[in-house]
Amino acid sequence: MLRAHLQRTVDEISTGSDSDYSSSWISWFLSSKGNEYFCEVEEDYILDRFNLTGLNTEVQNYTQALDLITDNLDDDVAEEFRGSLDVQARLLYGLIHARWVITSRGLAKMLDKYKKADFGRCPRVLCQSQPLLPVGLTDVPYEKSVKLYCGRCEDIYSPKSSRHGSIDGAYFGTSFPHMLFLVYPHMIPQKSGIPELSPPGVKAVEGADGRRGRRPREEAEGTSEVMGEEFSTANVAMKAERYRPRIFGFQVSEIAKLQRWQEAIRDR
Amino acid sequence: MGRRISPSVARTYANVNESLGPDWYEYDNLTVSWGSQEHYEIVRKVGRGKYSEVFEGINVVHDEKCIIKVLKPVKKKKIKREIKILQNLAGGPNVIALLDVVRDPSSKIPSLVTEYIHNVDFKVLYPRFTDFDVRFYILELLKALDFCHSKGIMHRDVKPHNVMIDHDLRKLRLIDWGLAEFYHPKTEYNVRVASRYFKGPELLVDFQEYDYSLDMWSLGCMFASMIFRKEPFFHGHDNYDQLVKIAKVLGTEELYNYLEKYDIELDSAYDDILGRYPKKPWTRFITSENQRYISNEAIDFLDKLLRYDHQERLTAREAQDHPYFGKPALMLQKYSNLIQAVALHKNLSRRLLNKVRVRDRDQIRLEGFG
Repeated sequence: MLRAHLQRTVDEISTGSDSDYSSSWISWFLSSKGNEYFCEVEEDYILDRFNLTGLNTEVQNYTQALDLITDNLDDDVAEEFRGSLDVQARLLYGLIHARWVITSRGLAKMLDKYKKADFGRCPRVLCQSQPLLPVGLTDVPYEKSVKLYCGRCEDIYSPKSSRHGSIDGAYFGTSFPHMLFLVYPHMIPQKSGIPELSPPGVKAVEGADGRRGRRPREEAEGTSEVMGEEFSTANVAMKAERYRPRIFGFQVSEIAKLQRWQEAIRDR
Repeated sequence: MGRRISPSVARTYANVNESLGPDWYEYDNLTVSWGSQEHYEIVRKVGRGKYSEVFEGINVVHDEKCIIKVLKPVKKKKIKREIKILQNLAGGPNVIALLDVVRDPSSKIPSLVTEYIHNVDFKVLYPRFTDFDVRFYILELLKALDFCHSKGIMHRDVKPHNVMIDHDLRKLRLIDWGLAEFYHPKTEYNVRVASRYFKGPELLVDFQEYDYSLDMWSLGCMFASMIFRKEPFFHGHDNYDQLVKIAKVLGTEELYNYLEKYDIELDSAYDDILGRYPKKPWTRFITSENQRYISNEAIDFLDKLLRYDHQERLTAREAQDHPYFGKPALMLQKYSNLIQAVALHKNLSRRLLNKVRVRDRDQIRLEGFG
């Protein structure tokens, strides 16, 4: 609140207008460095208590934390309490955010950010700077930091900058990118060529792989029969962990089917 | 002054829960045996509600389509109630079949897996119905309602969105039992149930001792919209306006008689908005566009459903014997059995066909990667 008040004063001086928007806790949070992956959760969504069911058991001082993020906190709340409350408010906003981004309005807001490549671009050369989407490896907070999912190579990466690398993945959730592609199937990236959302100047890499961005892993046909089982390439490949997209814990059928096939081929 | 003169009790099936015993109706201590989530995968999103996200899914063990209803975080008790009710009603006529209950091991989010119905949106489907189709499906819906009422359960959210119809197979299923509740006489229930256009007057005037007859009002609203081709039939802009819209058709004097009978005091918010309206004859809604659905029997049937007084409405059992469903309703029942026998064959062949199609798709996709 103190920060918000300060900012409001600054805003009033600098713009000369009374802007409610720029003075809210949420807009302060969103404009803070490192929070670029988050989108704005609409006030109506937060104010409908139904949407927050169960969060009171996940966040200490839930009521005050909620008051803080909705700018309803009494000014006379003890100063020393503010620090810990701020941590709880961030946790609460993060958990609400995870629920919000899979609603239709939330998905639309995140889609806009995706189109602007706000979450960065795939580091894999053959993905042609495909924009990424944030994803959690668990929906439980304080376990795993946020990762980035590439819809083209269907794999996940760590954020480039450390200030993004320390964001809790549970604030985005395990389902988000896969829900987005389920609701906006036309946004699923092509497997070859230049992505529609590519930055200017990116050219397609021609050559063996240019035609098809993703190939199944080496097919061990023949070799597996010649070599002993311990030495089979397929066997080694089988040990490689793969990312399996899930929505509320369910695998996404299209991707799971393909993965099953790839694994069966590899295992031959 | 005591608010209540005499308690209101359901005309039929009032004591079924009492006679079936606590094992039947107590859901709070239900222990859910969770199935394996890995048996199911998500194919596409088919809908969403206040309480859930709904997906078309596939059972990868049996290669069979299913519906996956992922429940949003709500009180555990509500989840247990829905599961218990679906289990109690398993195998009942036209009640959606619960196939499995699974849970994400890490987030603990529960999901209900139910049978898949190839549904066409009612806004597209209903206008295509013949007079016979309307009679056929309303009777099918009545079978589901009479069954659940006879088992002591009121659905409390009857509306077209919760009635899945596979028109090719002439198969109807009543879905979404998330608001359903066990009926115990002289119990005060929450009036914040059902969807606005289908809320009975009892809910709108805050009368909590309602019963199964609430579902019959909702069914009446559905029926009215089908035969008059007016969707929704009572189009209120909020809960208060909803009662005004009803009063403009059923009349205000009749409303006051109802209130008096049960000693209900109307919210003062109605003072300025209710006005005075005479009862409108049903024939006033007939147009050249909807007349193909209209008969004396249809009008009489509707008139006996849409009554303020919940005790006056036909019960689901009585409704099935109404002349609207053919001279002896048996004729239609017989026909319905025949249709379903044919449908079974069609269903089998379609499922086989679907499997072939799925394989074809796989083949195409896989060859592309070969």
